[in-house]
Amino acid sequence: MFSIDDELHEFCESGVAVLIGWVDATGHPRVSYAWGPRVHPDARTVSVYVERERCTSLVEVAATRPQIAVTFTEPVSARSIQMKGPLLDTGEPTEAERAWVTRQRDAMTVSTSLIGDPPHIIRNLWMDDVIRIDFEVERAFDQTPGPNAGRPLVAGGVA
Amino acid sequence: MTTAFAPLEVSLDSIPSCFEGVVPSAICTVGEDGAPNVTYLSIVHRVDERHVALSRQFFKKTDENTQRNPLAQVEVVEVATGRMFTLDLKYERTETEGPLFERMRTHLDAVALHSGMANVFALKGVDICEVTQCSLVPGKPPVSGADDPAAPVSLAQVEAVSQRIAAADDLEDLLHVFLEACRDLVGCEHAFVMLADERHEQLYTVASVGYGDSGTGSEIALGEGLIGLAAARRQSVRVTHMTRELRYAQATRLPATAADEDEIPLPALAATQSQLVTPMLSRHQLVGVVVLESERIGAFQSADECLVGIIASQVASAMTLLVSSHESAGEAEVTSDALDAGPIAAPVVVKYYPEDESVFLDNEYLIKGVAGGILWRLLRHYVDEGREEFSNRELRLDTSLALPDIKDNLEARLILLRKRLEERCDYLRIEKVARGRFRLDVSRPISLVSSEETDAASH
Repeated sequence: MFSIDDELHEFCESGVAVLIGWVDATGHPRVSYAWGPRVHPDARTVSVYVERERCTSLVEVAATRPQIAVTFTEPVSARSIQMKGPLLDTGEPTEAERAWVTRQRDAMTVSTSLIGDPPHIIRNLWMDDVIRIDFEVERAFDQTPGPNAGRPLVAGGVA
Repeated sequence: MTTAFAPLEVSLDSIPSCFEGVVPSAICTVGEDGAPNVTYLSIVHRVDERHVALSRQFFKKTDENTQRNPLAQVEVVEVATGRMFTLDLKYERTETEGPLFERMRTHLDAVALHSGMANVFALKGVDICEVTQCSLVPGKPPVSGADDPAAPVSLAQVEAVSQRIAAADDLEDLLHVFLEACRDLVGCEHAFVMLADERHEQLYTVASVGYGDSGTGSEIALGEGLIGLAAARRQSVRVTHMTRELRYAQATRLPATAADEDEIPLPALAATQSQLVTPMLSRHQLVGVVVLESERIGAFQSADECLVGIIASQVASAMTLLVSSHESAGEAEVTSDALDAGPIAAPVVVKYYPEDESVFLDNEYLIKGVAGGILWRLLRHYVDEGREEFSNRELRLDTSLALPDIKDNLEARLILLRKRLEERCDYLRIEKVARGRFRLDVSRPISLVSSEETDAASH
């Protein structure tokens, strides 16, 4: 079982850009932005937040505990990590969680503005109504562009 | 079920900026085990109304997945509005050669070269996918305002530019029209033209507009960096988000390296975000390139690339015609004006190094190469014979200049030389007096020193 070490934990919660991928009930792959990744104390469970309106097909299949893929990318360095594992649960975020998502979105906007992305466009990418997706990290991969892209990680290091 | 004949909810034609790579696109595929794989894509290129092409570089898992399960979904962002769209895709085939592959390969190679990452970003293939659906993703109301697309260029505007190109009297006039067209038709305030040298080894800047330093005389080798590669491959390269692309290429070596003492820096903006490099071709021969730059992200769109390509071809052809017509000009007798009254200022020491034909004025680098050789010979005639007027034709016939049999470059070298003199000193000028004839204006005494002679004297 993969365990998220401190360095990777910090990376995931540093205002990175997040993508989530899943397979809907008809077998079609689906992709969306996700926000506010949070690593749980067990170092295996991660929560991300997705727009409810955009991810209805994910919520539909949530009860089947489908495999999902989540990619974390630091905009300035292009460092990128993909984690895969079963969806564990969905839930309504608390006020504290909503505030966390806002902070993480703001941090990502700062990162993207450093490479020239217009902040008003980045802010237009998200919606306010989000739900929480919890998943268990079974596998993780280095997704940074380059010849090592796709290489499995072990506990935050390269296998 | 969507068929190839059912219309898409959103036509690909209506969202061209989504395919400019300004905001990276995301892709999700499905593995043999049913697990999804999600990552960013370098390029989503619209092929036609029902197909896109995806670049394949490092995506081992994505590649494996599409070979086994042809379904994928891509999410793209319209940069001017922040609207997002999903494209449901069905993989059809991979191309590893052909015009589309070459075009995408050149783009990736150019960015890689620009960032010092050549050979790391090799394009393995281009996946052609059918678009089975394109849908607007629910979101906030679109942003509107400053980034709204400009009004399309009318045929009448293109025709007017075309007529001005045809009417240009000489190369300088032609290049002026060219750069004005970049401003008027594409809205580009910063552009420069580099011409290919006689051996097709170097490009040198002969005209520019909108830069603090004109960069006239700056050089770059064919194949070097983004500009050199576009020239070497005879392919346009368009970068819409330079910072992101360089970051993506894990830039460790930015191009703004300090120039040597005798190297003139290329024209440059403080923070270029968009760049369009278009080769100028005449009868399949590379004449030069035009480089358009902007500090705005996504400044040049696909339509701009087409437009500049058309104008660049016309300018390249006009250059060839101009040279032919100038061959018959400038044959009038050249006067040998004696120097009536000698300048009275302190002499300027003009030093010449034959090995690279570089010329220094009072130990300050001026120019090298063919243009340097021309200046040295003009000054020799001026000092030895008191001559001030010259013809292009006599320069062509001067075997000591070793001009190649490519006629258009002489006039370009003279423009280059004239501009460098204007930028670097106030006592030497080249003034056009008639078609194919020019005058050397000198307002300080000249002291000529050739390193060859110095070396010989010291032995």
